[in-house]
Amino acid sequence: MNRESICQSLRTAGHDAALIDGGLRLRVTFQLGGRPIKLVHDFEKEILRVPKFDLEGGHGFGKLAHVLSDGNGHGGEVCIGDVASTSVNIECPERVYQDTVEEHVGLLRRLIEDPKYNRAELLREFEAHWAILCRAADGGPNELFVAWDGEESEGLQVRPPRAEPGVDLRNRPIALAGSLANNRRLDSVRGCARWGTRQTVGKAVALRLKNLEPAPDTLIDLVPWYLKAIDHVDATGARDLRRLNKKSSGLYWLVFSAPIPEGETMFAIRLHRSERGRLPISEEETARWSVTPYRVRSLARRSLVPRGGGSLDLGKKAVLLVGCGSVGSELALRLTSAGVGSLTLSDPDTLSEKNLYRHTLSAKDIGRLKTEALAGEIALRHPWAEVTHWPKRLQSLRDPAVLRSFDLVVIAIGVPTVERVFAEYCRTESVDVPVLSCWLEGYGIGGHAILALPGMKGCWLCAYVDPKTLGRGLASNLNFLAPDQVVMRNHGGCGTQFLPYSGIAASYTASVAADLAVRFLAGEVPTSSKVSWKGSETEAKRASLAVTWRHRHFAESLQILPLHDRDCDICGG
Amino acid sequence: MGIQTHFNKFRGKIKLGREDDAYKKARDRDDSIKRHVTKEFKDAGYPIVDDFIQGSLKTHTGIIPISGDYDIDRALVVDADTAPENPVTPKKKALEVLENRGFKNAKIKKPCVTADYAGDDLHIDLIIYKRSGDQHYLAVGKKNSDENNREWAIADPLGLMEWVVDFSDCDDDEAQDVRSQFYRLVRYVKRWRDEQFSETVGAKVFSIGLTVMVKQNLESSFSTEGASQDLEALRATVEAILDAGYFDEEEDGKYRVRVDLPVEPYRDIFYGSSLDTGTQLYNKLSRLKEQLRKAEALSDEREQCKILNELFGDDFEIPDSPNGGSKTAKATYLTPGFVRTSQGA
Ligand SMILES: [Zn+2]
Repeated sequence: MNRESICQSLRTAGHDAALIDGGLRLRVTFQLGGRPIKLVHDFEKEILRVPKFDLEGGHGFGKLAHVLSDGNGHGGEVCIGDVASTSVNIECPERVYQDTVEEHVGLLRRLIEDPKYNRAELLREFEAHWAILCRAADGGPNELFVAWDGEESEGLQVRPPRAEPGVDLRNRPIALAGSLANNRRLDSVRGCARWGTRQTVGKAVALRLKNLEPAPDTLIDLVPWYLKAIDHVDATGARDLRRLNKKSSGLYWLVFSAPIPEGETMFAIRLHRSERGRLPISEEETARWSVTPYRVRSLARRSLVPRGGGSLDLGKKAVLLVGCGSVGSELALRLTSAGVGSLTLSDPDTLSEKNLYRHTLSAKDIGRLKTEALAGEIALRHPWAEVTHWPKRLQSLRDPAVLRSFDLVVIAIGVPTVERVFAEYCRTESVDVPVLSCWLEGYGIGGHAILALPGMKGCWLCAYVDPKTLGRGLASNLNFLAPDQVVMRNHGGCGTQFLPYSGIAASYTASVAADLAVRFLAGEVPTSSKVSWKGSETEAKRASLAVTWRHRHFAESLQILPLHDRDCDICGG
Repeated sequence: MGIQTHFNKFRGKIKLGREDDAYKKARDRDDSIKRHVTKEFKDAGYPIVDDFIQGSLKTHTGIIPISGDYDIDRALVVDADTAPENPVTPKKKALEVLENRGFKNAKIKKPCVTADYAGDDLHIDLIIYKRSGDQHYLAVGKKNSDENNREWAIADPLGLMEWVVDFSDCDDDEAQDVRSQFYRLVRYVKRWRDEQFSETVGAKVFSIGLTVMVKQNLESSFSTEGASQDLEALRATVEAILDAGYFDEEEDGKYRVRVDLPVEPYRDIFYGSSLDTGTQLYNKLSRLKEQLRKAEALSDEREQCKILNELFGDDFEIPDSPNGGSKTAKATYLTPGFVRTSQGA
C-alpha cells in the first residue's frame, strides 16, 4: 500500500489531503458551512475493512450522529455503515480511500446541513452513544440485564450477583419487572441467574419515557440530561418517582424505556451514595450522588424474539406437537425459535441411549420423558415460549375439545397407520383443526411434510393416492423409496429394528416441516400444501433399495406445493 | 378423480389379451386348425418346424373389435431345405384345410391365406414362412401368380415384434411404465381408427403402421409421482406423428402416407395405398390432435369425457357428475393388507 500514492490520488480528485505525523496518518480537510472540518485516518498495515476516519474535535457543530465520541468531546470515529458485510477492493487502495473520503464528506454534510436528520439519527443510535458513556464511566462496562416489556412504568427489583462479576448470568446484575415476577416463562432465566439465592438491593423503578433526547455526549452532561429526561416519564412513572423521592436508600436503580425512530431502546441509571437519602429528582438533590449510566441488556420478549429472528405475532399461536423423536424434538425447537408462544408436547416415550446422536436431547436426560426434558430445553433456549407436556400417544388425543383448542396439530411420529386412523377420525367427526404430518425416510433419501386444512381440497389421503392404481395407497406418494422393501435394520432380533437415518436427515425434515408450520401460522399458506427435501440416493443404492419415480423426477425441494390430488376419493377432482 | 381414471376404465374395456375369455373360442379354433395344417404339411413333406402368433396379441396392443371378427395372425414356419420351391404350394395346402373346416371366404392373398369362421366371429390369417438359419422368408404370391409374381421374400416377423416391445433405451426403472403407456396409446389409437374410419378405409389403416408411428414418436407423460398422464402423452405423440414426415402432400390437401418397416426388408407398410387413405389418415389425425388439445385445456371431467367419447366411442364413458362421479365408491384399497414403508420420524 503506497501512502503517497493514496494521498496524491485524493488530491487529484480535488481533496485537501496531507500525510501527517511522518506519514503514519492521513488528514483530509474540507469546508462545511464556512468552517473547516478535519478527518484523520491512522494507516493500518493492510486493508482489512473500509478505512476508518476520526472527526477532529472542536468543529463547532455540536453533537453529530454517526460520530462516536470517546465520551469526553465532540470528535470521534465516524461510522459510515456496517463494516463486516462490506467487501473492499484491496487491489486498488487509491479507489478505496477516494470513495471512503467521499462517503464521509457526504454523510457529514447531510448531518450538518439537516439538523432534523441528525437528531433522528442520534436517537436511532442512542444505544451506541449510551454504551460509549457507560464505557467511559468508572467500573465500566456497566451492564444490567433487565426483564421488563418496557410498555409502561412499573416496579422493579434489582439483584446484584453474589459472586464476583463474571461472564454468565450467575455473575450479572439482573432486574425483574413486577409484572414478570411470577411469570413461569422466566423460570429458566431465573434459574440460570440463581435469582432465588440473591438479595434485592436498593430501590428500583422501571420508567417509560414518552419521548427521548439524544444521549448526553459526556459524563458531565449526564446529570442535567437525567433531570430533563424524567420530565417525560408517563403518569405511572411520575407517581413512582414522587414515591421514591419520599423513601430513603443509599442506592437507586432507574431503568428506562423510550421510543426511537423504528423501535424502542432501554437504558439504566444507577444513583449511589454512602449515606441513605431520598431519590434525587432536582438539581440541588443530585449534588452528593454519584450517577452512573448502565447499558440495558433486555430479556424482554419483544426484544429477544425479533432479534433472534422470531415473530412476535406467533406469540399468540398454540401448537400441539405429537411425537418428540429425532424429528419432533428438533421441530419443537424450530417452532418455538420462530416465536410460537404456546407449545404442547405429547409423547409417552422416555429418552434412551440409543436415541443419542440424532436426538436434540443429551445423555443427562436418559430415562426421562422426552417431552419433559424437551420442555426444559426449550425454556432455556426460548424463554418466552410456554411449553406444556403430556405423555400421550396420537390415538389417545382423539378429543374434539382438546384438538380444537390448538391453531395447529403437528404429527411427527412416522407411523402411517396411526396417522391414517387419526385422519379418518378428524374427517368423520368433523374436527376442523389444521393438521401437519411430517416424516423422513431412511438412508438420507429425503423427508416430507403435508399440511391438511379442514374444509379445503387437499387432505391426508391425498398424500396416499397410489400413482399406479389411482386408488388409496398405503405408502405415501411423496415417498422417495419404493414401498415394500426391507428398510429397517435389525441388530438384536425382534423388537430392535430401527430405520437408519442421520441427525442431519432428521434436522432437514424438521426444518421443512417447521417452515411449513410457521408460514401457515403466519397466514402465508392459505391452502393444503406439501413440501419435501430430496437427498442423495447413494446410501439407498448401497443398500440395494429401489427409489420411486418421484425421487427420479422431483426437482422442487423445499418448495411449498399444493397437496390436493385429483384422484383422492375424499377430495375429488 | 382425474381424467386418467377414465382412460384406465376405457383401456379396461377395449383391451384384448391372448388369455382373455372373449378370445378363448377363437384361440381354440386356432389351435385346432394349427394341428390340422401341421399334419397336412408333414404329410406333404415340409413339416412345420416353428409357429407363433404374430401381431398385436403378441405385442400387448390387441383391442376388442367393435364390429366384425377377432383376428388371429398365425405364422407357420417350414424349413428352407424341405420347403417347396413354389411359395404358393403350401399356401394352397393351407387353403384346402380351411375350406374343409367350414371357413367362408377362404382365399389366398399375396402375403397370407385368409378366411372367416362365421360362427365364432373369427378371422384368421395364416402366414407361411420358410426359415434358413435365423432368416425368415415370407411366402408371397396369389393362387395363380406366375413366377414373376411369387417369391420367398426376406422378412423379419420376430424382429418386428421385438422392436415393438423393446424399450431398452429407457431408464431401467421406468421402462416398464413407459412401455405400458405405449401399449395403452396404441390401443387408444386403434380404437380411434375403428370408430372414425369406414370399415373399408379403416382396413387399410394397418395396425402395424399405427403401432410403428406411435412407437417412433412416443412422448410419454407422467406426473412427478409417476402417475400416468395418457391424455398428455397421446396428444403429444399425435403432434409428433404429424410432424414426423410420414405424410407427403402430393396434391393440394392430398396426402400420401409412407411408414417404413423398422426391420428387414424395411419396405413401406403402406406401399400401394391410395391418396384417399393417406388424406383421410392425415386429416383425422389432425382433428384428433385438436380435440385432445381441447380436452386437455378443460377442467370439468365430464366435458373432457364428452370429447373423448366422441373420439373413441362409447367404451369411453361419460360420467354423470362433472367431477367424475363415484366419489365414495372408490374408498377401497387396491393394495394388499399391509405394505412396508420407508417412513419414520
Ligand atoms: Zn384428499
